[in-house]
Amino acid sequence: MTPLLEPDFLRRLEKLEIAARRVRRGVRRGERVSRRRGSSVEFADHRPYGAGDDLRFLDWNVLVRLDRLMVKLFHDEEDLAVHLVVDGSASMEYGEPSKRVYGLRVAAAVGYVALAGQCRVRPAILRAPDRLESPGYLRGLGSAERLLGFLGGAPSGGANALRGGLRRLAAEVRPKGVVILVSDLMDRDGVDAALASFGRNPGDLYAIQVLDPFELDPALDGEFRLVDSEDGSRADVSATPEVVRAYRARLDAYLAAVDLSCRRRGIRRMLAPTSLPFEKLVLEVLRARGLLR
Amino acid sequence: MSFLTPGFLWLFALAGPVVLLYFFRQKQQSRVVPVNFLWVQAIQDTRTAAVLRRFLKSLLLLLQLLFLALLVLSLGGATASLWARGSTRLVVAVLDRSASMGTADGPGGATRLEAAKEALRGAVDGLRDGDRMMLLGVDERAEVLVPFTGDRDRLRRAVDAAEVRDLGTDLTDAAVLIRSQGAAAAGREVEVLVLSDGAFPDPGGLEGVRVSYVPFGEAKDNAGITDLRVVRGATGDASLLVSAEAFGAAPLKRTLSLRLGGDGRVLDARSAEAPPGAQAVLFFPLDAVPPGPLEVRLEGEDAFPADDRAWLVHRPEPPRRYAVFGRRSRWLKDLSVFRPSLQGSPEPAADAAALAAAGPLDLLVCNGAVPDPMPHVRAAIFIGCVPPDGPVKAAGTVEFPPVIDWSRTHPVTRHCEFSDLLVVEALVLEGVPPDGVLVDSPRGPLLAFAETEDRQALYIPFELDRSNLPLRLAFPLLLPNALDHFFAARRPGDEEEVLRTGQAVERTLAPGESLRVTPPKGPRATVEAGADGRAVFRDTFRAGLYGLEGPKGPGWAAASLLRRAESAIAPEPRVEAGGVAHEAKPEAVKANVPLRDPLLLLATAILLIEWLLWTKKR
Repeated sequence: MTPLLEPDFLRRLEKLEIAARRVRRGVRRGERVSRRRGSSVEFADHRPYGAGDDLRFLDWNVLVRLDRLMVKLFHDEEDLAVHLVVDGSASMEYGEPSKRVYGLRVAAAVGYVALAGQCRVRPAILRAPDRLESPGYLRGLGSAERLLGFLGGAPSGGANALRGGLRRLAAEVRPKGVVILVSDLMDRDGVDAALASFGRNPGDLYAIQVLDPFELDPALDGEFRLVDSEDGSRADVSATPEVVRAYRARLDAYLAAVDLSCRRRGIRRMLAPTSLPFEKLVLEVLRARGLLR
Repeated sequence: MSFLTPGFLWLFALAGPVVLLYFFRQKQQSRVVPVNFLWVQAIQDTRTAAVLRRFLKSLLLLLQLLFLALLVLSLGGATASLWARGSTRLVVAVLDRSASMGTADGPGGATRLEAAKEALRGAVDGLRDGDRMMLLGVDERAEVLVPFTGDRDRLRRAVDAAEVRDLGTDLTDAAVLIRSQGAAAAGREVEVLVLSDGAFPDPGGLEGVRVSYVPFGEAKDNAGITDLRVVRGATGDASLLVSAEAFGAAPLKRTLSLRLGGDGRVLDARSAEAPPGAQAVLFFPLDAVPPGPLEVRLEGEDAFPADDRAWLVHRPEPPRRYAVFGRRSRWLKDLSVFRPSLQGSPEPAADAAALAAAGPLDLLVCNGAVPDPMPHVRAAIFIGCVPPDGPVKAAGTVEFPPVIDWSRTHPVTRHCEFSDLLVVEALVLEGVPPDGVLVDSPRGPLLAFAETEDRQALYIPFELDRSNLPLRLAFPLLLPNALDHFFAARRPGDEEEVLRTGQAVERTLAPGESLRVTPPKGPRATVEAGADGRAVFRDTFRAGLYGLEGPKGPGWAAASLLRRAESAIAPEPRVEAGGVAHEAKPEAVKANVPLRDPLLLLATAILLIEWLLWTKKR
């Protein structure tokens, strides 16, 4: 099996980090400075000593000078939860390279960056109807092999899982963190309902919409029976220039609707055609859009 | 609708492959896409256009099939009938096959007959079920090539087989046939299509018949030989008289050559020149020309070659024998001075027995007495006597009969003057035919000519010594005129020198003997002599030399066109039939209109429309 990421590229990823807009409360200490005062080395404030406080944090200097029992307070360093959610529906298995492979590589790259930054990384594959395939949280570069193994062996197929899968994910994302959704965001009923699951989620959400160039600019001419890869439905199409133009208009409208839904929910959407070189996407586009730095 | 080349109609079978190819081309390709709902929406957005597209798809197939149909119909030579009206028809097609119809003035050198046949084929193709057509081939006679029939194949075969004959045109026989067929039609109107160049006189008998004259040919200049005859002078010298005439607007300026009939070797040639519409008359001396077939040729080419050649068989006058019976006359000299071929003596035979012993005679001169029995002679001159077995009888005598008048046109009295003729006593002649009275008097002819089937006779009903006739200038003219008339003209039993086509070749044979005839073209024929010993061959409708083989050995006959009416090849703009002038009506025979070009044009337009629709569809 072809590895998702090359070693040289992994080394370049180690220089990046996840640029979360908001530091989220984690369950373990991480490399991120939290507004919550904790036990890191970065001093924050004093408060009067109370029974039960750890005497290790007693400020002896204050006690000597002011004869008052004061406890030092520090900024707590939280670990960041990064959820890598890859659409596993059949529609992702299209193109060369397929959208699935392209999306998995994106997820792997972001996940690797997160692991390198001591974030908790939870890769997941959306499966219909509302199932999440996931190895659980991973932490540290020691888990990179497991991360890449999971993503590299993830098959695709089945019906659209966006709505059910995202609802399930929204329910499971505790504590909140960074959610990176890699999908073509193609849903016959629209993605608004699916994205609504994140409606009140305070975390950072990114949606990387992977599309094949054929979807963006279909070069069809003649009589076709177009078979939907997810539900097997068929549509007889006379692919005349007029119909192709109508398709493009419909696609533009759909993408605009997706973009609006994302904006309304604070989701940063990025369009990633598979014709865009993967390295350029990760090293330039994702950095430019603020996901990595 | 009928087809000129129905063999192409099998191309209609291509419609099958066209339909198959169409549906094969229309077969959808199945393709898996990530999702197809956007396509479904796009189709819905263009639903109206899709309906149009479906229609166009069917329309394109229909247009393709229509294009194929038009193309095949065009290749098949589709024609539309113009006769699709009224009840069934009876049509008499009169196809002129006379010599002038051989004029090659059509496109590509086609003759008028070929053009007429082509038009007639169209008329045959245009016959509807129930229509009947009779085909007459007409020259100087009419021949029913096909009686009334609806069998188009039979009519076409007869049309194809029609050939030009070197004859004139006469629709008299055809009119009789048409009239009889009209009577047999029991009230149904007979339409007559006359396909001709119009060179024929009013046949009559076609009053009330619907005649459509379909002309063929163009008005072109022509020059042709219109007369050919052998003329012999008083001394027996023979010359060939040839008349060549210029028809049309161009003058005649060509060369007439006299050739041997066998190998065509030129014996003599003379320039023939004449202004438009005039004749050039030339004489070729024949004294040095060997006996046998000869050809006269008007050198050069024109649109009507049939009248540029003429043939004759040169037959020098054979020796002829004469004798004198009765009294000696100092005025009767040796007749050979008038005609060298005459051999004999002016001395009278002693008696009938001596005359009979002298052998067969061609001419007997009876001076004052008639032998008994009268020998069988071809010609006789009775001077002061009348034979008992002839039509002319003597009824007494008359003294000093005055001359009332004399014939100035009869060959025997040509150039003779009888106003001062004095006769002391003459026989009163009775039984002289009116046209045989050469010199008339109140009591009867003073000079008469009578001709029976076996004898020509000149009657001089007075003794030469008892008149001043021998002293008049008329006497030395009268005798040679009579001899010329006796022997220069062809008589029954003589072998002809010049024949016009259509005239019969006659030979005298023993009853039961046969004559084999080899025409210039066509199969040999054999004719047998009848009880009267005459073998007659009548099918001389081709100009040229006819080879003869009979008991007397081989021989020749020559037939030539020699018809001014045929040589005047300009087609007539109208013809008269039954006293009614019928204008040219070329469309009368256009039963079928060829649709090749319109169909091709329509097919091209269909192709263009299909291309435009296809482009729009894309």
